[in-house]
Amino acid sequence: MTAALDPELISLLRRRDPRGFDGAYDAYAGPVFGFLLRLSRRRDLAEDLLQHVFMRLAERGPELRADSDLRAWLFAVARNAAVSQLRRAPELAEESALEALADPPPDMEARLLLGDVERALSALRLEDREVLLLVGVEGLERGAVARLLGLRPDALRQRLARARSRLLAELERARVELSPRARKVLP
Amino acid sequence: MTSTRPDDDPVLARLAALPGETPARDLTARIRAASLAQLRPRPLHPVFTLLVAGSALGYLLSALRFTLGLF
Repeated sequence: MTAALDPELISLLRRRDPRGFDGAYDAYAGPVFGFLLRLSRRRDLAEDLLQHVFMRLAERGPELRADSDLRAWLFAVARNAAVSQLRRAPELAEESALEALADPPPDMEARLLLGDVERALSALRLEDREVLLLVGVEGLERGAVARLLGLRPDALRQRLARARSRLLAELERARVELSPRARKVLP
Repeated sequence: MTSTRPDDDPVLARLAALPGETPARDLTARIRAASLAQLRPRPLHPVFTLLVAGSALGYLLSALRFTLGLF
């Protein structure tokens, strides 16, 4: 994890040192972009939101507290901006954005599995998707996710369990539609 | 009870295995350039500078008037 770098990056950002911004961008732009892409399901929107997140970092970086959790801060800005945009405009799934996610692994079955998870995720509601992305994909601490979503820890646990069940249901539906060969490699 | 720890939960483990993503180079260049401009301390607006200078001058003049009034 890159969180160990945070105090140093924050110290540079507080002094308006561009190396702090560059370091934060190098460490977190990829994960934040992946999160935004999977949350919004639209590449153009994810790009605009990524720009918004890092512009906000440049603007507010000098005001960050020395003990801030930079990673959680960036994901909070990203999530709030994305949710506000998605609630204002109707959600449009953009299949090409999901298929363009990174280079697929060479193994055919693995690619199929990853594709299924992406598709199952994108079929979920926004509030299920965000909690699975933050906890499952990004591996943020539960406490940070609860604060970010404005939930109590027990409410977060419930929401995560519900989202997990819905994801499983989507995966199960995909499994039924798969060929017998692909079905064999699914857990 | 449903476990939700990534290390012992196969569903979360599969989510954690999803590939990462890298923003396009031109987007990165655009964001870095815009943010660098934002990071640079901006010079004060001339009107603001005039206001500060004017109020300092006003204060000095009133102090001088007060001092002269003593004699």
